[in-house]
Amino acid sequence: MQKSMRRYAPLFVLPALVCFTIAFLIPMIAGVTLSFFKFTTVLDGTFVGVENYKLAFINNEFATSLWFNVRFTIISVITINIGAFTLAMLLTRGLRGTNTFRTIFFMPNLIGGIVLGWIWQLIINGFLLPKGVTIVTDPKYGFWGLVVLMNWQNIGYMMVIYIAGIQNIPTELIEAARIDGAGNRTMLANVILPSIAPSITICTFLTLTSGFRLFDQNLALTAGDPGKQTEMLALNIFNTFYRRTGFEGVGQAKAVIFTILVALIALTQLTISRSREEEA
Amino acid sequence: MKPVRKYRTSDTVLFILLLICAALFLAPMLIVLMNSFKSKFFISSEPFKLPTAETFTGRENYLEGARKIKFLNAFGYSLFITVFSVIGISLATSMLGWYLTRVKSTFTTIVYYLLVFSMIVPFQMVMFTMSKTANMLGLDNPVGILVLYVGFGAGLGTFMFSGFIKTIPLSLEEAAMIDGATAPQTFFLIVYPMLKSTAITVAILNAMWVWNDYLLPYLTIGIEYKTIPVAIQYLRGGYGAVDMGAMMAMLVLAMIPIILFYLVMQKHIIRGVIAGAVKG
Amino acid sequence: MKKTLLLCLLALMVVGSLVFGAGVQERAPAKEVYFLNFKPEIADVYESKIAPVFEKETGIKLKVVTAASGTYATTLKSELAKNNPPLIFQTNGPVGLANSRDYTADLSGTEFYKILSDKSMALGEGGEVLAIPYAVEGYGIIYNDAIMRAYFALPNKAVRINSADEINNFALLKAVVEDMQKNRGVLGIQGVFASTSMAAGNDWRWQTHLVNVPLYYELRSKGIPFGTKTRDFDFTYGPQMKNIWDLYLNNSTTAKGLLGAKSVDDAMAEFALGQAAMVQNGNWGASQILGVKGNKVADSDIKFMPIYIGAAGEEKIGLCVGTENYLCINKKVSSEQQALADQFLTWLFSSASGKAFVKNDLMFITPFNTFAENELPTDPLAKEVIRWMNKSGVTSISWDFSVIPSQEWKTQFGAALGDYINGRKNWAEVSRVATDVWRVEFDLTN
Repeated sequence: MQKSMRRYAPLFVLPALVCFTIAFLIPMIAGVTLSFFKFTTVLDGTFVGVENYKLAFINNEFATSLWFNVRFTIISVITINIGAFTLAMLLTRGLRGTNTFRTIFFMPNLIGGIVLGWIWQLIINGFLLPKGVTIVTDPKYGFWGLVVLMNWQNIGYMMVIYIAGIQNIPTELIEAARIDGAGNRTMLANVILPSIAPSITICTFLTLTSGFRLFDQNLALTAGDPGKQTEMLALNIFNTFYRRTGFEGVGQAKAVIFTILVALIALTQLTISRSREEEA
Repeated sequence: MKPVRKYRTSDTVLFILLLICAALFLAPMLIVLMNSFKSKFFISSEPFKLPTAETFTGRENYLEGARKIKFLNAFGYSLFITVFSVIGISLATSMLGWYLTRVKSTFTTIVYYLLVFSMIVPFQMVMFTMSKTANMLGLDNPVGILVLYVGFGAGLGTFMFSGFIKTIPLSLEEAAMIDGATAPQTFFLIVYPMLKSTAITVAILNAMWVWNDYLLPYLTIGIEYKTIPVAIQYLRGGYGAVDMGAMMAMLVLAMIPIILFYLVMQKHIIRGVIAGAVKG
Repeated sequence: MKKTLLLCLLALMVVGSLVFGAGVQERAPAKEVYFLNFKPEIADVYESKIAPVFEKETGIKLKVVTAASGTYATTLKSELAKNNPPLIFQTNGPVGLANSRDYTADLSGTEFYKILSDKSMALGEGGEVLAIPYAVEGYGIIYNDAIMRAYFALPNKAVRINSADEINNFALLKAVVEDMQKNRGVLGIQGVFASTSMAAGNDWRWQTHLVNVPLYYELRSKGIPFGTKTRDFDFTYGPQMKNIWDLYLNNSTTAKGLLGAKSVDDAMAEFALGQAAMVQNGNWGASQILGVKGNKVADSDIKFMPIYIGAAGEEKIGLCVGTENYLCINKKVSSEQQALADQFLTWLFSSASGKAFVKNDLMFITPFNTFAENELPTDPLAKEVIRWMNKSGVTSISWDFSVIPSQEWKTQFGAALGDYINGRKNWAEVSRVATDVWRVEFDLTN
C-alpha cells in the first residue's frame, strides 16, 4: 500500500505543501533572517546584527504594550472563564429555553473583529458621553472597553466547551455524590470542577492565546489611542512595520520576540495537558 | 432519593437572570441596527435613543455607505475568497492528511511538525515577508490569495484530518488496493466519504476565519480588492472623517450574512467549534 | 427538506462566487494611470468625478488610491516596491524627495513641466526636474466675519478695536476670544474655536501645522535658512505655542474630554453650521465648509487671519503659505506608462474639463500658465490666501515643517499634546517630548 501511495505522492502532497511553502515557510525563514537586517523592501537588506532587537527597546513603547497586553490578557482570561462557566452551569439544568439561550450567547463569536470593534466603540462612547469623555480620553477606558468586548465575543464560545464538558460527567458520579449527601458547594468543588479540568485547560489556553494575538478588535476600537497607550503587541508590531519608515527590521525583530512569547505559552499548555493525560 | 429534576422557585429566578443576560448579549447588535436608520449627526450624540421623526433617515445610510465602500463588490470578493479557500483547504489538507498518516518517513514527520508549528506562530511574524512574497509571485489578487489561505489553513486542516484518519482501520483501504484500486481511487471512493464530519468541521472553522479576516486581505489585495472587513475599516481613514451613519449601516450589512449562516448551520457550527477547540 | 435547503444554499454560494470570480478574471489590464493621492478630503472628487470624465475623453482608466491620513510615506514606499506601482505620486518637499529619489523620473521633457509658469518652483537635482508643484496653499485661523461683526457691535464688549481686521497680535486675539466666549450665548455660538480634533489621523492641524509657527520663529532667529535640516530643536517658542494652544482649548465648542473623538470634518462642520466663530485650517478646507448640508456661513464672511502666538514682531507676519504638494512620475515604469502619466496631468491642468475640476472641485491655487486670471478658484478661502500673499508690509510664514525629521516625531508630539489636554502631561513634559524625540528621530533617520 505504501508503495502505491508513494507513486502518487506529488498529487497528495504538493497542492497543500506548495501553498504552505509560499504562504508560511519562505516568509517565516525570511522573517527570522530579516530581523537581523536593516531593509525596506525585503531584497535590499544590510546585516546589522542584533541592532534591531536593541532598537525595539529604544523607548518603552514596546514594553508598555507588552505590559498592557499582559494585564489585559490576565483579566480577560479570568472574567471570560468565570462568565462562561457560570452560564454553562445554568444551561445544563434543563431550564426552559436552554437551546435558544445557547444560540444567543454564542452568536457574537461569529462576528469579525473589525465589526465588533466598531459596535463597541459606539456603545462605550455612548455610555461615556454624559461624563464628557470618550474611549480615547484615558487609556483605562480603552482597557476596560477591550475587556468587555473580549468577554462579549468569547463567553459564548467558552460556554459551549464547558457545556460539553459538564454533559460528559457520568450521571452515576453525580448520583453517588448526592447519595453521600454532598451539598451544592462540595458538588462543585469535588465533583464538577475536577471532572471538567480538561475543558478548563482548553478554555484557559484559548483565551490566553487569543488575548495575546488580539489585533482587529484593538485596531477598530481604539487604534492604540490615546498616544499608543492602548496599543497591544500585535498592533504595535503592525505600526512599527507600516507606520514608520525605516523600521521594518525593528518590526521584524519585535515579531520574533512576540512569536517566542506565544510559542512558550503554547508549550506550557501542551506540557500541562500531557502530564494530566498521564495522570489520568 | 430525590428526583433529578424538580420544579423549584429558584428556577424562575435563574430563568429571569438568563433572560437579562440574553438581552445584554443581543443589545449591542440591536443598538447598531437602530442607529443605522438615524442621521449621522445624531448617532454619536444620542446613541441609545430611538429614531424620531427628526433623526430618522430611512435607507439613506445604507445607500451612502454601500456607494462609498462599494459594498456589493466587497461582498462579492469576500464570498468568492471564502468559498474557494474553504474548498481548497478541505481538499488539499484531507489529501495531505491522509498521506502523512499512512506513509511514515522522515519527510512526512518533518512536514507534519512544520504544519503543527505553523499553527502556533502569530500572523505578525510572517505578514511583512508574506505580502512581499505574494506580490513578487503575482498572488495579490482574489484568485492568488486562495493560495495564501490554503497555505495558512494547511496546519489546522491537516492536523484535524490526520487526527481522524488515525482512528479509521487500515483494512478497508488495503482491501481496495489489493483489488487493484490506485491510491487516488482509494482516497476519493473509500476514504473521502468517511471524512465527512471532519470535513464539515474544517470547512466551518476556516469559513469563519476567512470571512472575518482583516489583515491578510488588507496587506495583500486591500488597495484594489476590498473584502468586507477591509472596506469597513477603510471608512475610518480613507475619507478624512468617519461617517457614523454609513458605518452603522455597513456593520448591519456585514452581520446579516453571518447571522443567517449561523441560524441555518447552527448545529454543525457549534459541533465544529467544539471539535476544533479540543483538537487545536 | 432542511437538507435540500442547505444544499441549495451551498450551491448558490458556489455558483454566485464563480460568476463573480469570472467577472474578476475578465478585467483586462487596459491602459491605466495609477495615481497615489495624498489628500483624503478630495479622494471622492478623483474617484467619482474626475476618473469617469477622463476615461470618457481619453479612453484611459484612472486608478486613484488614497493613503489614510499620516500614512502617505509608508504607503508610497510599499506601493512603489510592488509589481504594479503607482505612475504618479506626491512628495512633500526636499526631505520626501530624498526618500523616493530612486523612483523620480526627469520631467524636463514633459508637457506637464512646460505649463509650469515659474520653472524655479520645481524641485530638481543636477539639471533634472524631479517634482512639480501643483498647488500653493495657505493656512491660518479661518473666522466667520458675521459672528465677529455681531461681537464688535455688542455694547459691553471688552476691547477697544472695532473689527476682526484689526487683530494683529496674540494679546488682542486673546482679549477678543475670551470676551466672545463669555458672550457666546448672545452670539449664538457654542464656542469661539471649533473642536481641537484629536482623533486618530486628525491631529495634523496641531502636530504639523500649528507647531510650524514656533518652528519658523526658532529657525529664523537661529539664522537657519528654509529647507535646512537641523539636529537641534529647542522649542524656544514653546511658551508661545502654549499660549495659543490653551486659547484653543479653553474657548472651544467642545469639552476637553471629548476632543479625542473629534475629526477635522467635525470641526469644519461646526464652523459651517455657525456653532463656532474660528477654526485653524487651510484653504483646502473650503470644500469641507461649502459641502456641509445646512451651511450657514455666507461666502463673503469666510475670512483668514494669521496664527498669532505672542512672538515679537508678529504684527508683520501673514498666513503660513507654501506647498507640500509636488508631483513626481515613476521612473521605474515603461516610457509608455510615463507618457500616460504626463498625459493625465497635462489633461487635468490644461484641458477645459480638467481645469473646471481644478477650479470648482479640487479648488487648487495652481502655478500653471494654462489658468487665466478668471480661472483661479473662486472659493472664499483661496481668494483670502491670494489677498494675504499680496498684502504689502506682511511676510508669509514658510512651511518649515518639511524639516521635521520623521512622521514618528509628529505622532509622538501629537500624543503629548493629547496627554496635555487630558492632564496626563504638563507643558514642560510636552516640551521635553518635542526636543528629545526630535534628536532621537534625527539620528535615526540621518
